Amino acid sequence: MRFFFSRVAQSLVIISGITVSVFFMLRFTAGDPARIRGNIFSSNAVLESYRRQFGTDRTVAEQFYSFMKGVVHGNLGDSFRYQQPVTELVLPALRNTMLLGFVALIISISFAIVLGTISARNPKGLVARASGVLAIFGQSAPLFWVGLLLINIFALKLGVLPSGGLTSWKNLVLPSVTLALSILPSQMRVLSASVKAELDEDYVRTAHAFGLSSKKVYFVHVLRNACLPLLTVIGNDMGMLLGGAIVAEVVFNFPGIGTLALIGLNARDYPLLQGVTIVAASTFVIVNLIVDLLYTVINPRVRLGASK
Amino acid sequence: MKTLNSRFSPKSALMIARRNLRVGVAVMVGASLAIASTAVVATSASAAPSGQLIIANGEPITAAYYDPHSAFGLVDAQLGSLLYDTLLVMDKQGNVSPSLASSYKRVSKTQVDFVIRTGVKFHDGTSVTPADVAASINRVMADGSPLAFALLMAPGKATVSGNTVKVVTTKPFGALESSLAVLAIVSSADIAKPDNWKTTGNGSGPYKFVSNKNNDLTVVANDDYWGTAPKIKTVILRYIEDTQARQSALLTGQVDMSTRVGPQEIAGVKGNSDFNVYSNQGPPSQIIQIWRDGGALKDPKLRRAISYAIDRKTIAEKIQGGMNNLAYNGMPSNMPFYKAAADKYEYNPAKAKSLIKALGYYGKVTLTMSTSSLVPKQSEIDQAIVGYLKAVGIAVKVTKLEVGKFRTTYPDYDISLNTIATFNNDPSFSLGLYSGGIGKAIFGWSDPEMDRLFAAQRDDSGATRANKVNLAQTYLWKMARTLWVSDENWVFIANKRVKGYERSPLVGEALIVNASVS
Repeated sequence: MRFFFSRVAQSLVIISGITVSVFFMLRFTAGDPARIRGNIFSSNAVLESYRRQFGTDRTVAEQFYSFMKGVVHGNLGDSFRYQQPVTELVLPALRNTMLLGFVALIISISFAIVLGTISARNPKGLVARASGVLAIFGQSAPLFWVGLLLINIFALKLGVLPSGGLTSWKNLVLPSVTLALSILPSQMRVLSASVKAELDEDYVRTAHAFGLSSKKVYFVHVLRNACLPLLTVIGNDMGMLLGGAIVAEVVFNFPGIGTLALIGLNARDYPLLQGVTIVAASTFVIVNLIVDLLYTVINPRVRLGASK
Repeated sequence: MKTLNSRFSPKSALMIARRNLRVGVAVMVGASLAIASTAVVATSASAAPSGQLIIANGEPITAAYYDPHSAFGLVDAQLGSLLYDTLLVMDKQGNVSPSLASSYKRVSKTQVDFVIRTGVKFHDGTSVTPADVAASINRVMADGSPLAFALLMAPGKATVSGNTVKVVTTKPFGALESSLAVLAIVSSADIAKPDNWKTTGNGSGPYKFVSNKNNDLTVVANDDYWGTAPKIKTVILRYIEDTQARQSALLTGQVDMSTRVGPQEIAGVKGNSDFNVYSNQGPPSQIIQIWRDGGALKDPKLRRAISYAIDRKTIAEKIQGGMNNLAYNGMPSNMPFYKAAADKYEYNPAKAKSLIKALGYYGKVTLTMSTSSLVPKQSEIDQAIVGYLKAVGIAVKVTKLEVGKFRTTYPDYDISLNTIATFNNDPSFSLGLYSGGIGKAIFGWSDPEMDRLFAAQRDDSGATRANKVNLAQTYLWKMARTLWVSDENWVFIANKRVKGYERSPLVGEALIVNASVS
């Protein structure tokens, strides 16, 4: 329990830090939202009216006070561009991005487990070699390029999948595969190395000596232990997924948090950008918290270590 | 309509197909009949609307709520034109005719009377009254109105007299009719409570607002529409930021149309018989290199000399892919009353160099330029201009800025590229950018002579106005107030399943009721 509260407290400090820093970073970055909102020919009176509307005519301290007051009450303000509460814009977009990330994660983990374990058991086999090539490709090919390549093949040439948008499950296939390819290499390599290490452990030999079947030894004991480092990698991958989602969402015109962030950035929409950053960062922190807690469930030594 | 089947060239863009001529004649006859008669266009004979049209745009909606008078972006205007009626309507040739006004009459240079059509209802079922019309006009005519549409109007007041709305401007205002072809008529209730626009747009137009989610703005045909019944059931305005993603969506049939495309997208459908390319389908627009007033650029002789140093033809052909025309006066070449000036500032670097030497600026002037990616091919255009200036002894210090910073700080630099579209297809809008407070804001320039010429043409109408417009545009050109790099041709690509698509020279899709999808 102490471990749990300690991790939750840490997470709260991180989220608070991000919340404060994102506010000031945006304010001190050049770019007047009123000028961006107005036309090239907007008069000073029009620009001033926008500044009043946005609240950017007030001092930074005053703006910060209102912002923090809102955050405490769960109110992230209204978007300058959309004139709607930021939460109403961010939450549906986050849901879409989470769905995209989740599907990408499922794809990458499935492939990582299958390819990683086969590679570990037969390092010189065809699958291991092919996995190596796939890992190099996934790590070196830029995400946007992979996305465009997949669109070109599956949407433009073959016409079997849509090139973008979000109207059916089919729209999830290409962006999630693109994202999955970017995180698959690290997962596969970590799992492969981990399985290899576990297979050399004494308990594996002992299990075999006790007459346990190879399948049982492998799936019940080896894979479970080998998955611990994978869990850590998955926690880190959440950052990759959220960052990569911005690129993937633009390439595939996917209505997620990345697209929203880009709109916010182009419009210097402070509340929207703050909302996107806070929600995305909080998601990352919370997922990592869950991973940490899961880690303790799977491996009690972590929990015991922390309590010492 | 200038329809270019899978092949685009500026030359072919100027040719009018026979079919288009027939359509043009039909439209003119139709417009004449509409003016002559105040009868409501019958809708009963029309087939029920069907199908779905998805239009891909590279920008999202920008207006505050769904308030049409706050519109200044492409999508705002598109949505406004679908949801709302206007007093007058502009056809693709730029002629205005009655719409929500069953008839109108210019009583004097300062007054136009509009008889308001009866029996028209807003989408929420309430009637459109003359009071709503007057309130809509007064909202943007009000002194100091911060609404974007205030730029289209002149000070004045609209009053109701029975079924007539009298619009009186403080001074004569020649652009009143064309401006009222853009100005959406909204309900007085919404004006009193602008928060109503937060969730929907309650107009009386051919389409009703459905939703705005997942980058899709969806509207559906208004079954009770008083005018020409829309043939398409659902129209979706889809925001696709990335050019490549937009093009992929078009090629795979996920969207039916892509707006304001560039040379690359046009090349992408070259030879593809599934698509039509619609050229010159937008308002008069220009790409200009702003010369800020100050330093050496304050000297009109230097500005004129520089104008000979820039090879605009090469920029238009090589960098802009030959899709944009060149104007030879201080307005876009497709603006009403445009007339080419005698001196075209043809590219002549030797002349430019000798003039600059004679003025004593050769090798002694360094201009600052901000560059970004706001305008298509901006870096290439900017680089070309830097090269041309260097060749005539003018040094340019270039600062590359991120788009947001560029938009915020462009007045701090001597040179910066920008685009300007004319919302109401009237010279007043275009010339107004160079006069008064707006001229000061954009160019840092204030010139009583230009203010006088601008006011003279604005305060007039008819044939005499044409002469005054010419004086104003020629003065700007002679003063080489800026570098008119090229016109900006609005090119749209549509799948051939879209039939009968046409646009007026206004921003928006007011004529979409004539289109259908197969």
